[in-house]
Parts: sequence; structure tokens; C-alpha cells
Amino acid sequence: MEASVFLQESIEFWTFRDPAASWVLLASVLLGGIAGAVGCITFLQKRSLIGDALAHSALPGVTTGFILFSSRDPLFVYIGAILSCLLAAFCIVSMKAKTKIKDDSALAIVLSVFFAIGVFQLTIIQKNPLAAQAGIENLLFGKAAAMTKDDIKVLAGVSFLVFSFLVIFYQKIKILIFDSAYFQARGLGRMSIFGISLGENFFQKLLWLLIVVTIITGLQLAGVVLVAAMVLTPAAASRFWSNSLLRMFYVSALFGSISGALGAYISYLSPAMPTGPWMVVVASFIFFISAVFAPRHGYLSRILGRIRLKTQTREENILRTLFKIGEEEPEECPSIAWSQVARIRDLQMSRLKKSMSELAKQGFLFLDGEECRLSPTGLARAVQLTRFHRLWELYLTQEIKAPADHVHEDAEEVEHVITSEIESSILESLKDIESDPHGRPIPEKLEIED
Amino acid sequence: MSDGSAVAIEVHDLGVSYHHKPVLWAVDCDISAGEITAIVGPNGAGKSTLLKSILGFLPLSSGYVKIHGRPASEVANKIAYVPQREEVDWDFPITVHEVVMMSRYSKLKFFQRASKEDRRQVEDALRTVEMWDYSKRQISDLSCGQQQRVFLARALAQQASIYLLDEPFAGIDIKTEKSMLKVFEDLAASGATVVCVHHDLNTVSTYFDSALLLNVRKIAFGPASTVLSQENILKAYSGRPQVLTEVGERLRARKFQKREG
Amino acid sequence: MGLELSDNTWLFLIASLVGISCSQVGCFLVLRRLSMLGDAISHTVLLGIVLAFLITSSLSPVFMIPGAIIAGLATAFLSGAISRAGLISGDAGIGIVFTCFFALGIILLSYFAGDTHIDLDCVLYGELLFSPMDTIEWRGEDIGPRAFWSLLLVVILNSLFIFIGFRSLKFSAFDPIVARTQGVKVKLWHYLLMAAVSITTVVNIESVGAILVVAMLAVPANIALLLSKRLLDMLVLSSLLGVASAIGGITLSERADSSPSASVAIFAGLILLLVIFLKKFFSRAGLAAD
Repeated sequence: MEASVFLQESIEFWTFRDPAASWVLLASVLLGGIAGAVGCITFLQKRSLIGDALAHSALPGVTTGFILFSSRDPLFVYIGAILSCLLAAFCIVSMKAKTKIKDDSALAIVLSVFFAIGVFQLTIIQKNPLAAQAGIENLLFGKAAAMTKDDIKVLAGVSFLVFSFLVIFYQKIKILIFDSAYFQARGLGRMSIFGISLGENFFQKLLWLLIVVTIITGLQLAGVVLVAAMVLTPAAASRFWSNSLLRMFYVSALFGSISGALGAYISYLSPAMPTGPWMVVVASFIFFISAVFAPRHGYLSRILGRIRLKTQTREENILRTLFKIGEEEPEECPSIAWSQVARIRDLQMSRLKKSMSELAKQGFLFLDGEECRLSPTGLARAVQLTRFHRLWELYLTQEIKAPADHVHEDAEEVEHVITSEIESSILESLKDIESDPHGRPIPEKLEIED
Repeated sequence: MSDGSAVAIEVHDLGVSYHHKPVLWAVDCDISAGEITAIVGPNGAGKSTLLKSILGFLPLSSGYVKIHGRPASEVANKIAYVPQREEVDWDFPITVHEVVMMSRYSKLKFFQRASKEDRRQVEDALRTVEMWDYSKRQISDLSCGQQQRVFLARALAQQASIYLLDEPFAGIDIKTEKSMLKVFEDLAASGATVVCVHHDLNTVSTYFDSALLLNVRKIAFGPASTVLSQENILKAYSGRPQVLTEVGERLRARKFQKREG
Repeated sequence: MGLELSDNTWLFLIASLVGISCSQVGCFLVLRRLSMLGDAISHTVLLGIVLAFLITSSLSPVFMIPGAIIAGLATAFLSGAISRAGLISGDAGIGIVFTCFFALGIILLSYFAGDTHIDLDCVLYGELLFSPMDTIEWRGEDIGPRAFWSLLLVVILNSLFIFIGFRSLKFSAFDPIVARTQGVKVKLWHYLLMAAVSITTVVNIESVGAILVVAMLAVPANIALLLSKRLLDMLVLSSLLGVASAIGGITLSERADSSPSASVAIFAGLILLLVIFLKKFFSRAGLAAD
């Protein structure tokens, strides 16, 4: 495609000049949004593959509706699909509860048998020349471009309902996800309308209905297999960006919408490209980016963190070693040869050199040729680390009754994480803090004078 | 085999972390051969973790475990392990005989069939726990106590010198409990080492020679009767020390590079 | 020695081989609680097939099968890696990986639609009906459908695999920890099993389509699980049930004039339903057969 054509079409698409394309865009964004939000619920309940199973289970409902009423009215399609999905959900739950069949097998059985029933009926319908099967075929692979205005009205209505449900019942959903035993015990699933009780676990049933409706709505856009991705991948991606449920809902809905928009955009640029698969590929790409690059939880940030940790630990160890060597000499902060540090810490010269110059830059050290000396701030830090190290050794021997010759290894790590609060709780539980288990004095904290 | 008071399991400064969060701190104990030892402590104290690290399948963050002076991985088939009830898929289509036969497989070469000797060992083990009559049954058809006995038989047929059992008495009747205990005593008398995770404080001193009281760290280790003093129990069951929890959290947070606060 | 059998007989034979080959690996998937991984792999082999075609421009099984195995192993490995990394637990890894691979497969397929001869409809709900017509010749003689011979080969390979690895497969499924103390290479057998699942799936999909493969991986093995007390019984019984579903399903499809693949899957489902109800009925009547 030429650059100018590409630019022109992009502008047309994003300025909503092409009404048909705008409808598809709207539909994809809405669908991505609700699927993303609802997906958080199934994802956190560890029912990630339920979307796959339910999407396949919708087919026999649609075909049965068609056979019985010979109608492609979206209302029949919806009701038929909802009923068969709910039946499928019931089969999955009761198979797991009442037979030896395990969770994953129940999903695979229901998925394949229900879908087979649908295909069975479909092949019969196809024999009927009068049957306009286009609508049903679209269910299998999804066809966003074929969406009519009516479809979009339905989608908008469903989106409104789903979002209102999530907003109204946010607190209940939160409790159900994080502590379902408590939810049951408090009877929070009980609901009633005008004083008529709707049963013990009505809320859970309502939640199933919500999931089913979302999936069926998504079927028309993304198709059977790929709608499963829309209720899973954005939710999984959002997990890397959030620790709270509310944020996860937002982020996941946002990711879903972005996937929808880009999917619609790509298939607008190249009509041979199907919207659904591109939505999924975009969502998977977002997942990949999140898993690798997300701050804090991402893979890269963990690797970088580990490297930073190692460098920092090495630097702190050097400070402490300098202090320890100086401890035995009369003069405060004597000059010490690098090679001595390298020998004690078993460090390569090149690594040591790097850490030394870094420490000097931070003002902890004075460098002098092949020798170095602690600065006042360096001394204070080294004293603090040594104090933490020896206090921890003392704590382990006194409180955990660990033998004195075992505690050094542990203290080597813990000295780097002790805070002043932890220090004071250690001091509270210790009786005698004269010297560490090896008989060395525990240095007092140094105040730095400017 | 080792002589009476020799150290069978040497646990030295053992530390274990899950996802960088320490669950065991600096545990030290020398478990003697020929004794039945209990590991006791509240839920989440790290009892099963300790058992699995003795087995040699967990990465250790500090210390080591030695079995008769050698790393556990080198003597894996000398250690018989009975998992916790919940970890077993009881619906698995497998007969009692097959379960017990499993313990003989490290002795078989690829493609080699079970020998007469293997069959005899399996039969002996099943007779010892009085389950020979059930050997053709599927494990799902057995009662709780019978199931536990089958797993004990598997351990016996392995002809190990170390027996590690995770809550062997959970959910079984008193008669089975007594008969299993008899098996343990016979094992110990023959010089083997038996270590059980146990949850009933009342029976510790009558059932076991020594005990390890554990709650994230070692509280006490020694003869069963002295370990369970009022003071020790209070210490083990009154929650974890704040300092350990905080340091553990910070170690984990540091590994995940979370901000302070 | 020309093999002169009617198309209908071939259909029965092919469907039976599908049932046998799938339930052979299906039993282990069910016991390892990996049924959904079977579902995932049966979708991701599409990507393997398409990529193999795009690289070699050939639809020969020599390239398609390695392509499918790589895609299958990649699915198993990546989904495991995602759940091992923390944060994303359990089945989610499977779902993310397989939908992504499947979507990529469809995109590549629609991009190169003109060049490939892979029919998406055919891959998804396959056409068992046409498989008897695609015959192969040997020494100038028509020896019957290609699907029959390739499936027969898969059944033989699977049988060999299970025969050799029976002990290791059984115990790494039942008690991986103790299996390891007994020197069983649990991880190695896991990936060998995944390779077997991939081969089985790709050859089956070619002749019957994904949906029947998923059904045959899961349904007969689970019926057999309900009825057998030993793994060996379960393997034999599930193969028999696979054959029974094939015969029943194809008869059903002839009567109803509908997709044979779907009918076989439905028939398997009906047997499962019947077994569940009979078991409940007998246990309630206190007649539980031992």
C-alpha cells in the first residue's frame, strides 16, 4: 500500500468519515471493553478457559432456535444462545461436583459435545435451500463487517447493562472473588425482589448470566474461538499493571478496547484481514508487552531489579569490608589496598573497580591510586550495615536458637533489608546487645556531621 | 545400616523460600537413626516444606540437608515418602498392588519386568499393613485408613532407610493409628529412621521418641517429652515473631523491587 | 492385492482409528488434568501447518507433521512458562497462547488465501465424509484412503510409545514426586506425551477436523475413567468406546444425513450421559457393581 493511500485511509478511519467503518469501530471498542472487564472476574476466579467452553456451547442454542422458529431474529438467536450456554455451565459445574470427572475434562467434554450438536444441526440446516445461514456462519468465525445497525443497538444495550451491573455490584463481586467462603457464610448471594426471595445463590447465577451474555455478544464479532481470548488475554495483561481489583477492571477494559479499535483499523486498511483474529493478536501483543515491560511485575523489570540488587549488595559489602579491616587497626578509616578487599570478598578486579568508582562518585569513598579510604558518610553507612549484620546474627542465635556458626550466611542477606523500625523491634526482643555471637562488638550508630 | 545413635538426617541451617519469601528460617537438627521423630507446629509453620526439603526436591536458600552424610539427591531411592492425603488423586485408576509396586521401579532396568523378589517384597509390605486381601482393589474403593496403609506399604516395599510421612494419621480411626504406629516402631527397631508430620499434640510424647517443634523457625528439638513444655508450645502457637515476618516481607519485596512503604 | 472396500466401510474404519488414536493419548491427558491442553494443541497445529506450508510451499506430511509438532510443543512449553512465572495462574497460560497462535494461523491463512489449499472450515469441523475418497496407490494398486493408512500409523506409534513408557507415564501422572525419587524423568515424559498429542492431533485434524479431535481426546477417556479400576483397563476400554462412538455416530449421521464428525462426537457424549446416569442409578439402588 502506498504511503499516501495509507495516510488518507487512516485519517478517514479515525475521523469517522466512513459511517460503516465507524460502526464497526464502535462495536469493537464496546465489545473489547465489556469482555475485558468481565474477563477479570473469570480470570481471578481461576476459570480462565470457561470463555472458550461457553462460546462453543452457544452454537446449538442458535441452531435449535433456527430450526424451531426458522428465524434469524437477533432476539431468538440471543435467547437460544443464552439458554444453551447456561445449560453448558450447569453441566460443567455438576459434572465436576457429582462425578469423578475433573474440572478440565468437564470443560473439554462440554465444549466439544455441545459444539458438535451445533454442527450436526448446521449440516441439516444447510440442506434446506431456503435457510439463510449467513447469520449462523458468522457466529463461527465472527464477522464484524457484517454487523447491522440493529446488532450495534443490541451491543450498546448489552454494554450498558454489563457496565451498570459491574458498578452496582462491585463490592459483592470483590468479596466473592477474594473470599468466596466468607461470601457463602454471610449469605451474600441471597437476593430478593419486592420481598420475594430469589434463592440462596442467586447472585452467583446472575454472574454466570453476565458472563454468558458478554460471550454471546462477542461471538458475532470475534467468533467462537477468539471470543475466548477477548475475555481472557486483556484481563491477564492487566494483572501486570495493577494490584487492586478496581484498577484491574479499568486497565483490562482499556486493553480490550484498544485491541478492538486496532483490530477494526487493520481490517479497514486491508479488507482481506479479518477483524476478530487481529483483535486477538493485538491483545496478545499487549499481553506480551505487559509481561515483559510492565514496571515492577514485568519480566524485564525483575531482571533489571535483580542486577541492580546485585550491584547494590556488592557495593554495600565493600563498604562493610573496608570497615571490618579498619576495625582492627588503631587509626580511624585507614587507607586500604584494593587487592585486600578483592581477596576477602572474592571479587574480580574489574567488578571491584566498577563498584569502587561508583562508591566514590556517591561520596562514600576516597580513591587514591590502588588504595581507598572510607569517607565520613561511607563510614556511617558501613557502621550501620555492620550493626544490622551483627544484630541479626544475635537475633538468630538468641531468638531462633541457631548455633553461632550458622548465622553469618543469613545475616549477609538480611543486613541489606533491615530498616530502623525492624532494628527497634529486634532491640526490644534482645536482652544483651554488647557483642555479636562471635564476640565482636556491635557498633553504635554514627551521626553524620555536615 | 547405621548403628543405634548415628545421625541419619542432618539438617543444617536450612532456609527455604517460596517466591523469595522465606518460609523456613535457619532450621538445625540432627535426627537420629532408629528413632521415630515428629514434626509438630501450627498450620503454615513449614512442616511439609521441611519434609520436602529433606527429600531434596526444593531449592534451598541457605544451609543443606545430608542423609547419612550424603546429599539427598544422591540417595533418593533410600528415602521413602508418603505424601499428604490431599496431594493424591484418589480417583486415579490404579490398584493397591500397582501402587505398592511403584516403589520397586528404581530397581528395575528399562523394560525389565518385576521379578519374583519384587513381588515378594510387595506382598510382604501389604501383609505387614494387613492390606494383602485388598491388593486387587482400586484405591478409590478403600476407606481413609486403608488408603493410608497402602501408601505406608509402598514406603515399606521401597526398603528405604529413611521414611518421611506427611500427616500419616490424618483422618483415620484409632485402631489403624495403633497398627501403623506398631509398624513404625518395628522400622525404628531395625535401625530405620521415621519422620512424621503430626498434628495431635496430645499423642506426641506417647507415640514419638523425639520431636521437632516448628513455627517458621525451630522452637525446640529433642526428646518428645521435654520438647512439648508449656513454654515451648506457647511460643510455637502464639504466632510468628513480628521481626521474622517483616524481614521476610522485605526480602521478598526487594527481590520484586517494590518501593518502600 | 487391491483393497476393495466400500466407501462406507472405509468410513467406519477411519472413524474407529480416530477414536482409538485419540483416546490413547487422551487417557493420559485426562489423568494429568491436561484435557484443555489437548483442546489448545488441536487449534495451534493450524499455525504449524500454515507456517510449514508457507516455508516449503508443500502440503506434504513430511513438512506438516514436524510443523505441527513444533507448534504443539511450543503451546505446551509457553503456557507452562507463563504460569510458572507467577501472577498468571493455572489454565490462563493455555488460553492466552492457543488463542494467539490460532489467530495468527487464521490471519496468515486469509493473507495467503489464494495460495494455500487449506480450507479453514475443513480444519475446524473437518469432513470425515470425504476422507475415503482421497486414496493412495502402492505399486500401482489402489490400497485405500490415505487417512486410513496415516491413522493406522499413528495408532501403531502411539501403542509403541505407551508400551515402552507405560510405567513412567503411569507414575508421573499418579505421583510425580515419588516417581522422581524412583528415577523417572517426569519432565521428559511430559514433553514426549505432548509430542505424541501433537502428532495424533495433526493427523486426525487432517481427516476429521478439530472438533471431533477434542471430543475424542476427552470423552471416551473420561467414560473409561468412570468405569475402570486400572490404567490398562482404562486404555483398552476408552479405545473400545472410541470405536463404539465411531460406529454409532456414523450410523446416526447416515440416518440424519448430517456431518459424520459431529455425529460421532455426539454419540460419544450420549454414551457418557448414559454411563453417568446408570452409575448414579445403581449406586442409589445400592447395587454398585464392583
